[in-house]
This record gives sequence, structure tokens and C-alpha cells, in this order.
Amino acid sequence: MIRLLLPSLVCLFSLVVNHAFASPIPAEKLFLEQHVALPSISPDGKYVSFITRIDDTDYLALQDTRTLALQGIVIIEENQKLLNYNWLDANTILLSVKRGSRTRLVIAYRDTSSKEPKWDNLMLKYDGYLVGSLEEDPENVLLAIHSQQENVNLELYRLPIDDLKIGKVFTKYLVEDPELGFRFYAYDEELKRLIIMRLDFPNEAINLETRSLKNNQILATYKIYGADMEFMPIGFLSESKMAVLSNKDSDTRSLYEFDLVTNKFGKLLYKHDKYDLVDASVSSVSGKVLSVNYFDHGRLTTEYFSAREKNLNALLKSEFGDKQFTVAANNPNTNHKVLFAFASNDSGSYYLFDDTSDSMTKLLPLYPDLENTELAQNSNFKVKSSDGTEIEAYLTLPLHNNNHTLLVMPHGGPIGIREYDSFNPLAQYFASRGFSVLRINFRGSSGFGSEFEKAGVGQFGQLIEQDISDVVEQVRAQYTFKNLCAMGSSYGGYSSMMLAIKHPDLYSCVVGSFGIYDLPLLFNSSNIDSIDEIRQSIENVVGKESDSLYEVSPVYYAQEVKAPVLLFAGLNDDVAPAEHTRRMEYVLNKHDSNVQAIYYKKTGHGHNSWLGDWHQLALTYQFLVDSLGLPKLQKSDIKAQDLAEIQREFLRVASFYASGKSIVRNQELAFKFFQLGSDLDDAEATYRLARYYEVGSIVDKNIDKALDIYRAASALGSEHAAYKLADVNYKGEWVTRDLEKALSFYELAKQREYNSAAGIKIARAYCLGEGVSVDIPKCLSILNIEELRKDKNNKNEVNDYSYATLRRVLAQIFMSEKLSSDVRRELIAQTRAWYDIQSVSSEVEIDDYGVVSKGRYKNKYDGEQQISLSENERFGVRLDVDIDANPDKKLPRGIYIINWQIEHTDGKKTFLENTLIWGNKKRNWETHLYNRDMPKDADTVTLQIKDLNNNILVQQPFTIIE
Amino acid sequence: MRRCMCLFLCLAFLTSCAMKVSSIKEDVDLDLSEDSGYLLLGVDTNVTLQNVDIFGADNIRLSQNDLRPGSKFILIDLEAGDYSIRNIRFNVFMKSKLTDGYWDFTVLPGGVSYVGHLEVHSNFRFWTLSQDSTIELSNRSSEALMFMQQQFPNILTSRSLEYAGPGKDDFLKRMQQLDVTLQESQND
Repeated sequence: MIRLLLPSLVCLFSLVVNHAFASPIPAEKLFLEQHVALPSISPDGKYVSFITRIDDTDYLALQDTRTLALQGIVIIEENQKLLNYNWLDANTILLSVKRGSRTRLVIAYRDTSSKEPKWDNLMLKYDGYLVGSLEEDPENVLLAIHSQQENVNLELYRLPIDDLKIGKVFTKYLVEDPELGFRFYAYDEELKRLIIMRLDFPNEAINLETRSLKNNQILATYKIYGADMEFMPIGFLSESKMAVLSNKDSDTRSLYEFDLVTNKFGKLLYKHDKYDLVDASVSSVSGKVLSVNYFDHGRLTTEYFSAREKNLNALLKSEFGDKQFTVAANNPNTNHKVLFAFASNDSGSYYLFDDTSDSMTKLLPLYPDLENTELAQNSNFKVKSSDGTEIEAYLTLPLHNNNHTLLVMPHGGPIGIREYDSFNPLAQYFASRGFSVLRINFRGSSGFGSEFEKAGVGQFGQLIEQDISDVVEQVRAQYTFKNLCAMGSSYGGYSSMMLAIKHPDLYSCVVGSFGIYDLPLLFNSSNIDSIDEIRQSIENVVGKESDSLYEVSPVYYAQEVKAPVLLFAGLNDDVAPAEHTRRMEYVLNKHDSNVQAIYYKKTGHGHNSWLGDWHQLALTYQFLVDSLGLPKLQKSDIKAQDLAEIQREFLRVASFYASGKSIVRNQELAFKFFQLGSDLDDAEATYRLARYYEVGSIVDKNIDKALDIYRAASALGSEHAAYKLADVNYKGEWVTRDLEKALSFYELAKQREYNSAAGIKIARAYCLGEGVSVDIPKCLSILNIEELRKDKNNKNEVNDYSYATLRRVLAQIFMSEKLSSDVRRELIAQTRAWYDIQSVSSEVEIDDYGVVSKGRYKNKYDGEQQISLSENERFGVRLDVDIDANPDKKLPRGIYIINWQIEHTDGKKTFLENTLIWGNKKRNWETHLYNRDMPKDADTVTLQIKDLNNNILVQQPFTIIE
Repeated sequence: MRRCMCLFLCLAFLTSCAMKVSSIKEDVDLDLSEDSGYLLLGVDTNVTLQNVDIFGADNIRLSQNDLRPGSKFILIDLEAGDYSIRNIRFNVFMKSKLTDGYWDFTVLPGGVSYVGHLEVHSNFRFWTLSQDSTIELSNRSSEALMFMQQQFPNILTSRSLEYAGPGKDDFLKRMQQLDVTLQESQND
């Protein structure tokens, strides 16, 4: 369940030192979950703890504050996720772990009685959370536990920490609460008050109750009624007063006093003239505000009010320079703080600050792979829009290889969403590929007060796009760009399309993902939109439904779009249904525009895994290159350590198109992206490219070219290509048969960790002396793939293909005339053991034959020997098998060789399929051939059923007719 | 996640007076009476449905043949008037009665009325629908238009295709106008 991690994690965080070199940053390095989260300081200040994520596994890690040594103390098993944790004391941590749909508490503790204390853990049988530690009673903690009782959410317990370590079942609640329904417990350590919050849904109110822990007496009860305003409680200022973030009497979200007794707002504690507050801290002892946070020009800003904190902030500012920072964890008893510092060109790291010595130590970065990777810096600036509204924006210019293309990226929403002047993976992805990226907080964006936000309502295609265009003009006045492209998701997709419609001569391409393009459709995309609450929520953003919405819908102005368009949509998108994209694509096609649309299956309003994002980014990048005529990415442009990941970007796009699993299959585009991957010397892409020439799909069939590309792929390290070339040399179909060469390619494929089929074919060589001297023990040893499957160190996967290959190879060996009778006997004995065969004698007859069709319970045969097949038809036989064995075996198994032999129109005979068929009497004894597998010059096909001594038991000829 | 709008699932057997219909397969415009039109309904389901009952000017029942997993269209000629999808039967034991007022549509006289795609996505668990089941009538007009253009171009030449499902949507009308405009500009 939960394992201990003994080895140090230090090596896992060892950093690759990259040299400054202009190179595209792989999407896999930018779009991924952060490696560390939720830092905390142990009560004794000896450790900083983190949740760390390495290769999709969560760990709870401790970093020694003195030596900085890292130690993983709990590994969370696969398919589980570490959600949260709290230190209970210096040697005990309570974790919350998600297992499937359930959450469980885990107690991790260090046995301090032994000489070398080590961490152990126990998963408890319940879910809950830590309400508070008790300063005056450190042996106990307050724990809220989800009850097993119906309709009761939580029960509050005061528990000895030692009882938790042994998973002791407890029965007595601290607070006996007759009220059912949702409740939440908190503990104010300064006031030493238990706080119980209950939701009162019928009255749209919150009931708040404070209690003393000493006697569990209710001290006060309050009722807070909801209203049409923001109400975000921050903390207690006194027994009866709270600090609350609200926009009650101010345009910007500000900090107010709130009287719990009168249920009324009191004095304004802090207000910023331009920016909404995002957080604050207060003291219930002093009743004072300690700090407030807001985003000033998109930069996280903390304002302190005590002289001591102000001085400390000044000191930290001088230390971090241009970086933004915040306190992520604090231990006032040991004077330690964990700070998180970041910038637009720094994905962020945690730092340990010792308040006593004013010393700073760097701990862990959020994204170790980006450490020492050169990132582009934003510049933030303001623009007065046409009507005088002040608009903030962020411009990211490429550090190298500037292709003089500005990507204008309107954000989604458009109401209540915003951009920040911080690390932005999308901006970095494109900046590292030579693009400039412009992001804009147009009217409607959050963080600038409610008036600014409301000003965006109903301004689709109007003032919002005017704001964007005003900013673009200012940027163009400062910098020269050859191309402009508009790119965005959701509302950003709409806005991008509208920008191209309004300024057809300015924008050279458009990328819209998960976008809305027909505004009336927002009200009519489904019968669910008829529900009043849903209509109201749409009106709050778009304005009322009216015919005027057609005037600002890109679908009805598609004739104005001159630029190439790339569209992405999710087929399960409930927010911006794919119908928007289909309409846009339809009408653009009507106007003969250059449009390409990708519809992701099983995808909603955005991707549910990073894989989708990586795929979309690679497609978008190549679309930009193709649309703008930019130079194609060269291998020499890419850092050696990033090459594999960049190659994978093209291979991924190609594979999605080739498989049709996640998007509609498109072999032409698959071929194009395999070619692009191959151009970057990707072994897998090169191998897949060769297949197109081999089968004559998309391109003309060209076996010589296919072979050349297979050879190139093998030279690049492709195990598939090596296996293919081995088969080619073994069969002698396109080259002169060369068994030695075949064997060396099989060996190469095996060495490159191809599945165990390569080994099985090596075994064939040793059994039959093909390209090597006969070595029966070696042959039998390799053929025993069950042993290989059990071997944990085996690098040649044993899969369904391996088993199918084994059956084919065994059939070939049994049919070989080279096999001596002794060897045959030995091989038969082994084969019977492998397949658990008990038959002593058996009879086989042909029961049915002809072209096969599906019946209700079993396949039907038309009984014809003359076969005229259409594309996907198949023909074959059903056998009637009677197996005799020792009387103690109720369902004995038998085994036979199936040999499909073809006589071609020129009289030549070849084997089409040899394999083994085995089982008991009850199995479906059938064997079929598909038309697609038949050579075009096949004249007669004969099925032979043989025993393992190569004796023909029964045969059925079929004549192929036109 | 949009929740299905099922009022309840009942385990009773039902008798019905709805008439089974079969969809039009050939692209030949029928000689419709003045008070009838074509109904175009999309069905997108990941489970086999036994039948769907539609009540209104005429009572009809869509059968299992039209309601197998996959995405398809059903085109039938019907008496013009107001209709409502009333019941979806999943199997002999289970039926979903749909909420009144959210499943109404109109078949317009003389034209092709696309009323939406009946989307049913569910996982059966012990003869009940899974919690995350969705039953919805979605407006996928662009697909309906392309379907008619590809499969029934003759009918589309002589009949207008209009959205007649829940809400109001002019997309189909505007696209057919656009076709005319583009055709005229080509002729010029």
C-alpha cells in the first residue's frame, strides 16, 4: 500500500547543467505537473517537507534544513495520489491519500526509540482532516473524521497521537452534533476557539458557532446571510469580528471588518485603488491586519504593515531582485520560513530563510528539468484604449532565432479570467521557437475591480477586441513583425477569429481551440440550455439573446477570413460544444478558405491529460511554420538532450493520425508528420515512414525505397526496423535469402529490446540450423517464453504477438524435413508440456467450410469450395475434433498444425500461414483466411491439418475465382 | 457534466399505442400532403436502446434497428405539428420518462425539420443507469446539413432544411441562403 523509501532522493533531483543555446524547449518539459508542492516546516525546524512527484509517483519527502539532504519517507503507490499532509508533532505526519474515488488518512511516524530512527506508516480505515494541534496539549490533536453514519459528514475527535499510530478505533466524539448535513470544523490557535460552520441552504446562509475546548460550551452563534457580492472570510479579528474580502462598497475587492453579532460590515481595513485583493492575513490577538496581497501589473505583491515585516520584506526584495516571492510555510517557533520565488523567466523554486541569521538557502525547484534552461522574460506595460480605458498587457520576446512573428493570444472567459506577469509555459514554448507572444488583460478580465470586469459583458467582438487591437498597435509601433497570428482557447478562439475578420490584412493565421464561433448557438446548443439558470449564466457573459449576436459571430463573417485557420475541438465539450467548430469549418470550406479542424475524442473543454496538450502544441507549431513559410526545424537547432523529446512531438502527431484512436484517422497527415520526425533522424518515425512505401499507402509502392528507409531506421536504432530486415532476409522475398544476415538482425532486434518474438525466431535458427549450427538445447531454452515472462530482468516483453509467433515458429519447425526423429520427439514432449496437452489419440474431420458469415450464436459457412471474395470477407473451415485421453481427464486437450498452402497461377507453391491450434473438445475449432491476406495471383488454396509428426490428418482445397 | 433529465426510472412493463416507423432510405422526394413534412433526428448512443416514443400530432416509436450504438440519422415523413420525445426504453426492465417541456420540437409542413441529436451516453450497472449518464437533445445542425447534402441531395434541392428543435437557431437557413448567394456569384 504505502512503502518506505530508504534511498535518498538527492540523485533524482540532480540537475543536468545545460549550456546556453537557442533551442526549442520540448512541450514535455513545460507542460507537466510540478515536481514539488505543499512545503511545510517540521515543528522542530529540522526538516522542510514536500509532496514530490517523480515519474507519476507521489512521495512525501523531507529535506534536512542543515545538510539539505533529501529523503523520501513515504511512497504513494501507483494509481494513488497524495493530496495533503500535516505535521502532528516532530515525529508524526498525517497524510491524506486518494485511492480511486475514496480518500484515506495515513499516519507516518518515526520510531525514536531505536538507535537509527526510521519512518514507518499505517493507512487508517477512515477519511478526514486535521482541525488543529493544541499548544497546551501537544500529545493530542483535533481530528475531523468522515462518519460512516448516513447524512452526517464529519465528527470531531480529540485524539492521542499515539492512538493514531496503532490505528486504534475510537468511539467518542468531541462535539455531539444533532444537526445533520454539511459542516466544517476549524480551530483558531490564537483565540483557542473551535469554529463550526454549517451551511443553511434553504436560507442561503452560513451558521457559524464558536466553542471553548475546555468545556465544549457554545460561546456564540452567528448567521451570515449571502448577498449579491463577494464574501471571502480571511480570519478572526476578535471573538466577534472577522476580516472579510468583499467588494460591498468598493469597486475593487477590499478588506473589511465584519461584525458577526450584527451580521453587518464594519470599517474598511484596506483598499487598493486599482487592484483586487487576492489574500490577506490578520491577527486575532492584536486585531490588526498583518498583510495584503494583490497583483500589481500582473506581479504578485505583498504589502506588510508592521515595521518588522516591512524590513524583512525589503531584505528579501533585495535578495530576490526582480523575482516575485511569497511565504509558502512559516514556523515562528524556529524562525524558519519557506519562500517561493518565481518570475516570468523562472518557473520557481522554494527557498529556506532563517530569520535568526537572515540566511537564505535554495531548496527544490518546481520543474527541475527547466533549471538552467534559458527562458524568455516578459515585459509588462499599459495602453490607453480608444475610449481611455487602461489596459495591461505582457509581451514575451524570443531570446534567440527571432522569426519576427507576433502571436496575439487573447485569454478565455472573457469575464473573470486574467493573465499574469509570471512563468507561462505557452509563452515559453513559442518564444523558444522564435515567436513573440502578446497576452492582454482586456476589459472583462479579473483583478482590476468589478467595473472593469462588468465592462466586458456583452462586448464580444466589440470593445474587447478593440482593447486587444489597441494594444497590438502599440506593440507594432515599437517592434517590427513580418507576421501576426491570433491564437486562443475558448473565448480566446472566438476572439482570434474575430481579430482576423476585423483585420484581414493584418493577421496571417488563426488558431482557435475549444472555441465558440456562433454566439446564438450558446443559447440553443442543447435542450439543457432551455433551463433558466443556464440561460442566465450565459447572459451574464454574452448579454441577452438577440439577433444582434449574429452580427458578432465569426460563422457569419467567414468570408472575411483570409488567413489559414487551424481549429481544435473536444467532442465531449459541454462548454463550447464541437458544433461551434464544425460550423466554422463548414462555412470556411464553403468560402474555399484554408482550414484544418481536429476533433479530439473523449475530450471536453480542454485536454484531460498532458498528452493531448503536447499533441496540440506540436500540430500548432507545424501549422505556424507551414502557414507562414518559416524554416522547418532542423536537428541542428535542437539541444542534444532535448532531441528525443522533440522527435517524439512529431511522432506523436503522426501516430494520432495513423491510429485514429484519439482523432479522426488521416494517413496523409500521418505520413507528413512521420516524414518530419524522420527528417530529425527519429528511428521510430523513419521505420513507420518505410511502411507507407512498403504497402503503397499515400505514396506509390516502392519496395526498394522502403528497404532503404528500413535500413536507415535500423541504423538510427529502431528495433522494429531490425526485426523487419531480419524477416526480409529470412523470407528472401525482396532480397536474396540470407539466413546469417537474418539471424544477425534478429539478434540486433533482441538486443534493442524488441518483444520476445525476435528471440523465438533466433530459436528457430538454432533448431533448424538456419544461419547457425543446430543447437537444440539452446533452441528449446529460448522457446520457453513462459520462463522469460517470469524473469523480472527480462527486457524482451512477452506479449500476444510473442505467443502468436511462438505458435507459427513451432508449426514451421514441426513441418521442417530437417528435423531428426529424436529432436522431433523431444520437441513434441516440450510442446505438449507447454500447452498442457493430454491427448493420446484424436480424430479430426471437416465439419463446415466456405465463406464465413456471422450467425447469431456461431459462424456460418456457405459450403462452397469455389471462393469469390469481396474486400473484408474471409473463408475457412470448422473442424470436428474428437480427443481421447486417460479416463481421469474430463476435458483433455489436443494440438494440431494448421498449414494454409497456396498454389499460384504460375504453378508456384507457397505457405501463407502456419500455426498451431490447440484446446479441448469444447473450443471453437475454426481457422480462416481473410481476402486482404491473399496474394492476387492465388489460384488454389489448400488447408492441411497435421499432427506434430507432420502427418496430414485432413485437408480442404479451395479454388479462388474472380 | 450535464446531468440527464430523467425524472425517474421505472421497472414496469409498458404498453404503447405508438406506431413503429422506418426511416427513408432512398433520395426520392415524397409527394407529401400539405400538412406533413420530413422529420430529421440524429441519434448518438453508446448503448442499445430498445425504443424511443415520440408523441404529438402523430405517435411514433423508433425501434431498435435505428437505436444501436453509434451515430446516425433517422429521416421520416410525418404529419406536421408539435411533438415531444416522451420515453426512452433501454430494455424490457428499464425506461426513462423524460421531463415535460425540454424535449419538444415541431415538424414544419413541406420542409425537412432537423430537431437535434438524441444523445444517450451511459454505462449499465445492475440494470440501472450509471450516475454519470447523460440524455440530451443536442443541436448538431452542421452535421445534419452535411448528411442531407451527401445522402439526400435531391430531397434537399426541393425542400428547405430548418432547425426545429428546442430554442431558435438560424444557422441552417443562413447556410442555405449562402449556398444560393455563392451559386449566383458563380453564375455571374
